[in-house]
Amino acid sequence: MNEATRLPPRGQFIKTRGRLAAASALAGLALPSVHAAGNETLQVALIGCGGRGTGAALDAMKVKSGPVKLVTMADVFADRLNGSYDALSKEPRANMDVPPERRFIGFDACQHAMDCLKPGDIALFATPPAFRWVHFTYAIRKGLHVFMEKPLTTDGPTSRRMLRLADEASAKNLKVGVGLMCRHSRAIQQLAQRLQDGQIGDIILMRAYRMAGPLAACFTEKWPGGSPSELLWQISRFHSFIWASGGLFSDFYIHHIDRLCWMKNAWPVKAQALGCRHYRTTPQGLPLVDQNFDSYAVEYTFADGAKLYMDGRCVTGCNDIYFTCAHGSKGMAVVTATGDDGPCSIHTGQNPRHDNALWTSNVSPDETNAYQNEWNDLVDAIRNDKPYNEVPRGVQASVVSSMGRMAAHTGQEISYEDMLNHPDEYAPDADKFTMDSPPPLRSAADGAYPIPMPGIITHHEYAMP
Amino acid sequence: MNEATSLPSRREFIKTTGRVAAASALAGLAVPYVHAAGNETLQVALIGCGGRGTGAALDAMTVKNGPVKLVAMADVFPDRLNGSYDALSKEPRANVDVPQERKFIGFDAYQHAMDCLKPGDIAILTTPLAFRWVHFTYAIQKGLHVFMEKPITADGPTSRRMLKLAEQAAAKNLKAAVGLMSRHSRALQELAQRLHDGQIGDIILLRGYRMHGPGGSCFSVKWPGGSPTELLWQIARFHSFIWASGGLYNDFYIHHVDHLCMMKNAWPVKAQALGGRHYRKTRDGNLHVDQNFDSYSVEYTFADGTKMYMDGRCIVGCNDIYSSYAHGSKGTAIVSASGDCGLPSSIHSGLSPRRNNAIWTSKVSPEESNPYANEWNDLVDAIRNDKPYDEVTRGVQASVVSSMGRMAAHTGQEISYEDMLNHPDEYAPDADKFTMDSPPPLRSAADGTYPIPMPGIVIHSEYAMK
Repeated sequence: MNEATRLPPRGQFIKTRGRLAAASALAGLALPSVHAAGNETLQVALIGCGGRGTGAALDAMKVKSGPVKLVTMADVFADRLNGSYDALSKEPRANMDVPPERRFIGFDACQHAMDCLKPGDIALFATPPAFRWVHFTYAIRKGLHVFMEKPLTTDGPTSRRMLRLADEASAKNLKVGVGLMCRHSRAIQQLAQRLQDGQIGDIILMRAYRMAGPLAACFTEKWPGGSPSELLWQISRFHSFIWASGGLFSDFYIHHIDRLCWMKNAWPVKAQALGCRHYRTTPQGLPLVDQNFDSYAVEYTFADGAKLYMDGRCVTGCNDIYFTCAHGSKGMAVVTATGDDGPCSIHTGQNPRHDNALWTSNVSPDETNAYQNEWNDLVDAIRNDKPYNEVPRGVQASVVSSMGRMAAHTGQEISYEDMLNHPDEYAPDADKFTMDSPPPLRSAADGAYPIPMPGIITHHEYAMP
Repeated sequence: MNEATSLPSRREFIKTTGRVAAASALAGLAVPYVHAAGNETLQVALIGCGGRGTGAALDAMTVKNGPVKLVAMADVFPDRLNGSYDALSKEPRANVDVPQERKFIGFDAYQHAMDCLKPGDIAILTTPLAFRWVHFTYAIQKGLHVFMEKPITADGPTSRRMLKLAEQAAAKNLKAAVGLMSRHSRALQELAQRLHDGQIGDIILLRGYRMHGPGGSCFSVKWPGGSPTELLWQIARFHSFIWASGGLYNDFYIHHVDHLCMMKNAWPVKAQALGGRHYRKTRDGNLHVDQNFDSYSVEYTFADGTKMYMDGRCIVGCNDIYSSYAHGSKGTAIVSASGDCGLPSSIHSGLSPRRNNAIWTSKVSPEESNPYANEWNDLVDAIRNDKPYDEVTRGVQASVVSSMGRMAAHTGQEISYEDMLNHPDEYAPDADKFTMDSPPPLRSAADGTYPIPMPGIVIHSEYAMK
């Protein structure tokens, strides 16, 4: 599991707090290989320059514990990279030095960008999750700390692979943050402690809602042909394709699922679900060819019998709800009143009101941004050499998301093990893509793609080639 | 509210246990005026001769506190009536005396059938629910006790009307039963008592599941034209049309909704739902034109914040679940182990019901293990012994709660109990005026399709109303 022997044999000495560590000298040993001193500049490579990556890069540069500088950027789309570069350049708090020769375009751009870093620097992965294992593999080889955006995986094989890679990263003492930022919400951290202390008794029911109109690239008409290629077009509309994103279910709902499992301090053992695609055409009547449902009602079951309901909908004009809560034998808790962060509160009875609130979260103003907290925490772990690997938990949250999606898409009960051990890999060649590659999901002659067919296609999520 | 003054002025005296009551003499007073003596034959008219009506008629004739005799039958379809008659005639336990002249076909057949009865006899109303208020109105007018099949209503106006009719029936001391047989399951009755006594603490979560392949006539391809007429064809495929049945949601799921509310001892105050129609075609590619979804996940909320989930699906090949549960602060109950109210019910410590954590398991004597028989024994007992018996009010409430869940799914909106009860849309306002030549209340477009629910698009009505 330890890939340290594959470290590049660069005799690069890096000052650490109180000692000198030679990366190559320690190669092969499960010891701290590289970590930056308290005030040494940490260099960052941004791989995947969409909105989320751009935001994460800025959060990285704004950490409180010493200088972090963006030095290289990579994407498959030149316009996304340039747009991100321009936006960050205008940001007064940004600390960046990314000359044109350190901006890379293409499927191998990630390697070139990581090659610009030295061991102990940080690679920031914000591409669609299909490429997470590809990029993580290379970052571990290069001895880089990593921040990676959620979800981490969409299928069984890549989940198992990422768990192995997580072990390798830990063995090399690399610090890895995962963009499940709720875990860094100070309000939700306070609540989790209180729930685990039993303040609402045994947790019986948890409810999560993300119901709104269609978002981002979740619904898609046929590929128009021409340029960009169908592969690049699928990547640019990654929410539409399970191989790229895990679909809207994994991408949109993983935060809710993750934080409620955290409240329960467990992962569910199985899921059953109702779901459907009620509207399959645009308002103008054009067919939508993406692989998503527009309605998901997933019931997760924990080992003790507790239930977690994840209600998701992407239909305009319906009852919009964005909320999470937990009901226990002695009361209930609002986990997120709106959005993905607090305020959190604990109430007597099962109906949360102001007049039955026992506790409401209180967070100091400089810690109210969970996106900033997660970077402060990661860089603190790097600079002070604290154990830090969020990947196993991130894979688990991704598997739980995928098992709910799979239950809805197949109409079957799916256990955690079913999902983790499922043989289907949706983008097995993600490490070999070139600009000319065909997409992993192939269209029929009429431009339609294989879509989930609950009750008809039950052993796979959709008709596999 | 008391329509006793419109009773036919037949000076018919009926012997009752221990006294004699004159129907006309007491007209206008809310006191018993007709009920059969302990061993007098109760006559029954069966109105709606499908499978459910036929079964109910047999249950009526096999009550332990008989005799009960079937004397008249009515339907709009001769083949259904004849099939029912033939099946009942072959049944050795049946007590059938329905000569040709007491078999009636047509939309006015119910009147003729009830005209064959005398006050204090029983009308069985087992047509699709669209006609319930029409038939109940006439039964009250005729001074008849009633057994009516669930659901009772599909919309707000008929729900309000039926609540008024229930008061009129009670004012005339007519006994009115509703085919929500879970309420007569001895196991569920005992379980409800135990839960109301707090044996699982405060109830926090209730779960009902009915998920299996398509049932009844829930999915329909286009009307083929010709005979039967489109109206009769819609009635024959009543599960497909909200006006006729409340759709598959009401017809299939009302038992779970009702008996879980019985466990909670309350009705929910609101519902929100996810639902949709994933498959709109037959496997051969023919378009389905019915008004149902194939997937429903309805979340009901009670005044105290308790949640009740009703999960329904009609898709072949998926994970089939057909059972119901209640979770409390101190334990869990299996309400229906399988089916609509399948035995045994049980109470368990912890959240996950297992054999080794069972605290109580229902034990029902064999002669009371069939709730369909129990509901008839209970009704006839109330008639013979003049006990108060109005299940219509509760049946309307269960129907409104079913409809509010269906409406929440079909519109994508949060629907309160009051929203549903007071909703202005009536889906079959002319159900009392139908003739064999009437157009259906739901009209098809030129291509044979019907207005269907469009959540988020059609939100103030359940589907595009004329």
